[in-house]
Amino acid sequence: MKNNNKKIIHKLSGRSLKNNRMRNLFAVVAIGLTSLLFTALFTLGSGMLQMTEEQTMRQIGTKAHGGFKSVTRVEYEILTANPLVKDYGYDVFIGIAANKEFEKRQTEIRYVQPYNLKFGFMKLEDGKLPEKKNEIVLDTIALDLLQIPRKVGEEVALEFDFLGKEYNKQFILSGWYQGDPVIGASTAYVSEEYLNELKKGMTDEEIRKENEESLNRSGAGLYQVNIMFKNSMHIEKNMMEVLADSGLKLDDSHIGINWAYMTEQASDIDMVSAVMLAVVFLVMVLTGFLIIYNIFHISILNDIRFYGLLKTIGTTKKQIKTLVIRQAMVLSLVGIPIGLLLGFLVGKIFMPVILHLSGGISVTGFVLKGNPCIFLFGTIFSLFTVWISCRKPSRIAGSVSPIEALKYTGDIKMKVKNKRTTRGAKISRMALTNLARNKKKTGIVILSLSLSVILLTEIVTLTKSFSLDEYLESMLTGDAMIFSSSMINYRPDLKLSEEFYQNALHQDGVEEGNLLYHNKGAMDHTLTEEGYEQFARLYKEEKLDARDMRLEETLKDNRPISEQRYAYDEVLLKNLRLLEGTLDLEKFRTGNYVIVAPLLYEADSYYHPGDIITLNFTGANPEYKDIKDDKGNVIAQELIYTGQKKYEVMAVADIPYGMTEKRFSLNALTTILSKNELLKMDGLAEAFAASFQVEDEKEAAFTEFLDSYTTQTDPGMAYQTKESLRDDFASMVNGLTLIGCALAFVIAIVGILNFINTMLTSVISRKREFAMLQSIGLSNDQLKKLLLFEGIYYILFTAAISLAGGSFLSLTAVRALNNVAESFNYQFTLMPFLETIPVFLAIVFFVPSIAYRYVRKYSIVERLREE
Amino acid sequence: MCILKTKNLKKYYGTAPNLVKALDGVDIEIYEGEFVAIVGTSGSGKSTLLHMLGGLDYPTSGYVAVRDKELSDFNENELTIFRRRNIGFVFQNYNLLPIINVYENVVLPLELDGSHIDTDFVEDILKTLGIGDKRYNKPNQLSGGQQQRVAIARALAAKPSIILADEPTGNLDSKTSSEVVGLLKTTGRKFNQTIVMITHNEALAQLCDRIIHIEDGRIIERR
Repeated sequence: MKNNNKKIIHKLSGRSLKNNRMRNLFAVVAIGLTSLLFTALFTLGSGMLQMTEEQTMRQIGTKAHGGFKSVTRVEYEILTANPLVKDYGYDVFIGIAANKEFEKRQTEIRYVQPYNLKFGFMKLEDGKLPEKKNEIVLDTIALDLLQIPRKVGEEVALEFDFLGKEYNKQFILSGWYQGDPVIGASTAYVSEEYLNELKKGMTDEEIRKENEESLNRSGAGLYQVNIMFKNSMHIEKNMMEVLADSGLKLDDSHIGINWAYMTEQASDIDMVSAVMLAVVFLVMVLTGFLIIYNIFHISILNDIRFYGLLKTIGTTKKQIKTLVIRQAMVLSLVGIPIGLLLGFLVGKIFMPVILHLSGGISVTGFVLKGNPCIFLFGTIFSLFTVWISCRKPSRIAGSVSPIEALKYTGDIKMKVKNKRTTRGAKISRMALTNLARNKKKTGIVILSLSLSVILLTEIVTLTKSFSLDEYLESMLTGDAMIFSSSMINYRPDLKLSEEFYQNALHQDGVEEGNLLYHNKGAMDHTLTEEGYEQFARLYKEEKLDARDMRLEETLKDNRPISEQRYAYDEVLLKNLRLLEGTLDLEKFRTGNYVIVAPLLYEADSYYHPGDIITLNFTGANPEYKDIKDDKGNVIAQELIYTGQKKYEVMAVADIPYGMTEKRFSLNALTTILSKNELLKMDGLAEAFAASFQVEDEKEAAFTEFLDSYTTQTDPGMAYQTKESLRDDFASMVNGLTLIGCALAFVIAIVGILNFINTMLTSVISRKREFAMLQSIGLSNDQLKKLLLFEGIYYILFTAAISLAGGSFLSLTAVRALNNVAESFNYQFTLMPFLETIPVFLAIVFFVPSIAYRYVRKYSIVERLREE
Repeated sequence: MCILKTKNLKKYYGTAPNLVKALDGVDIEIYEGEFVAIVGTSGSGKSTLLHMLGGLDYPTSGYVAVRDKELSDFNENELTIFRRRNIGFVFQNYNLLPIINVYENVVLPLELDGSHIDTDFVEDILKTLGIGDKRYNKPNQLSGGQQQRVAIARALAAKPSIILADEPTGNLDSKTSSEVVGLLKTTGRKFNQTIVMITHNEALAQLCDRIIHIEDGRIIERR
């Protein structure tokens, strides 16, 4: 019997929609805005992921999913014939250019199969790929180092080694391309003809044998194959399968996986960001919920007689609920796509801002790709918000008792309270009472309006609290610092060029130069008994990083932990932030003392002043010995120490970020020795950075020098100055402010819409009531005043709530960031509050006037007569 | 057979000292096929009684039984479905859906049930009630009398076994009023329907088989 009655519900919901144009408009806009918020967020997120992926790929140098290294032509053909392989290409590694200009910047020589270029990032700016034996293509970095102009036809001489023989060949530049400092090495491309000339008719097997004999693992002369599968899932599994299928006798070392695709990277998000993201999500859901719920809630209440009537005629609760939800879905069908589109555009516009914020390496040429996941998740979250928003209203409609249809009343479920006052006839009092008629509806509007004010307050408080000085202090020591570019490119070898340092030191205006030293390797440290106790305690208190692979062994057998060792020119020691003990320079100079730094994120350390600890030293070329178990299997490798010495811990001090090598071993012990002691004892000691004090007027010129030196003379070096940091800081703060304000702005619009909708619908539903009042003597002006007062009360309550809520959040949540973020210095401010409330007030003046005009359109009798 | 029965039916609103006793112990029995009129002054409880009979509202104490089935045994859903298949309501203020046209209003209960519509029968009703040519009009385009006739058509369309009419002629002129009551009587006879009609028009009440007087929530025996 029930199968045919869906149609009538569909028809009724269609008619209902037609009958509620104003509500539909508000609903579509509200749903659209909600959808916009979510989509913009997902677009930005997707863009970030895309950025990270592309960055990593550029560092690795290829977009391919995986690769087979050093294979013969025959093997290449067998492997690529596998049906799993969707696309492939190859290049041949020949050798590393030995020219002395390339000492600091590795330049590799390869032949590339033209098709293979699609897997890389090389794009010729001028000229063409090499064809003749003496043609070559280089990148701008290599050309600049060789001081060869970027012109086709220029002469290039390269020295290199191939299969044991030395070559020095004259080439003609046939083309060039923009070099990428992010990649670890430049690549020079030669022609296939030249490659064949080098191979001298040797077969691939002979080349391989030659490689093995010369202990050269580079695979020179063999094929380096790029592989693309249908998608980037299970790359490792696919590669292994292809290898296994081929039946070739190649081991795993010939397989390469492009870990830019490895999704484990995305999960490496830190606590603070995760919390912030969750908060933003909640705010968005709340925003959407507040307005959509209110729109439907009001609509249902206004039509309660209609629903009561339906009940009387025989519509079941479920049918009525379907009726409501169906209308919501139709409105979503219109609103969500609009929101998706606009949200994506907004996300695209804000992408550069986000990239700046996250310290993106290089932003040029980044094109945000439309990922279907963005729209999928945007739709899901929007639908979810609409669903939770109309659940309760649909239930109210469904649960209506048929008697509602038979009663006329404008307010539902009102508890009748006896009010023993006689002052209720004043306009302002009436306005207040009107607001109290439906406390839920009023409350939601006030909350909706307050949300944007509170959010804006927190954002502004946050950005105002970022302290430039503290930031500068933490990132930089002195006016300028120089260091190896490996520090920012996450490459090994952090050694500071002595030449660079001397050059910089003697620049005009430099008052002082100080060096920062470290042990360039990974030292091992065996904890003392006390140290071990602290370690175990910290582990129990969950203050240690669980990703540390050595953790278990240390806990079990007190196997060594990592030690990061520093030393500084004495002047720099005053920048250390003492937590325990005191710094006695005279004593420290004796070299018998060590300063220990606390754990990375906790103000806790393994040692305390007075403890005696043993530090290990090795020579310049450390050796290892194998540790075997009873069965003779090698379970670990241990460093062979050439020296050991005991030191007394003088103090526990925090090292400013700017004075570190900006990479940290998990749960390591960080030590600072006196400079002379380190240089004397440690074979692996080297200078990794230098800090300069420069005369104010000469700062700009010094920066220019640093800039030209690191681009032209030695691109392997990098620098950082107060100016560049100031710019970074400003753009970061501005970026944050921009995004925060944009979000608050959208939420404010939502709040205002909510207010307008509520006001308008309340006026319309009270048409009859107003007519009645006017018929007994309420003048037009008084009616206008009544509506105006209602608006003012809304804002008054909003002001109160946002003041209270905003201040509370500011003093608790935002101030708590003092402990988390480094350069954060909490500043309480009420500016945004003072700026937005007047704006709201202005808007609030408008709406009642418009509503009032609508009411005035009909004569009193007409309004009284209408149902 | 006794199709509608109430026993010690009470409906109280509010609490002392503001207790309103809309029904204060009502016992009635109505038999199948009867055309019963309920008369009484304003505030006597007639509408409340009618609502109870139709399961639109719940009693404070006592019970209502339709065909010996107590309405309190039904849950809300069952009651709704029961109502749409067995009871036709005619309200004083018509209570038509403004968003659908006359024809759609008339067949609405049937559509809600998903049951088959006897189009010939519906045509017949529309014609008899004189609103056949208005079938595509929306209710707000009709006069009060026409709207009332639509409401009656709706009540009849599902051929319910019980028709409850609350002052169906309250807003009609005298000629239309007697026409409407006459129609109710005829269709009632034709389909063996039981009709309970509230009216304060003595003349119309005389047209019925039986009159029940109610005053201050209690039945007054007067034939």
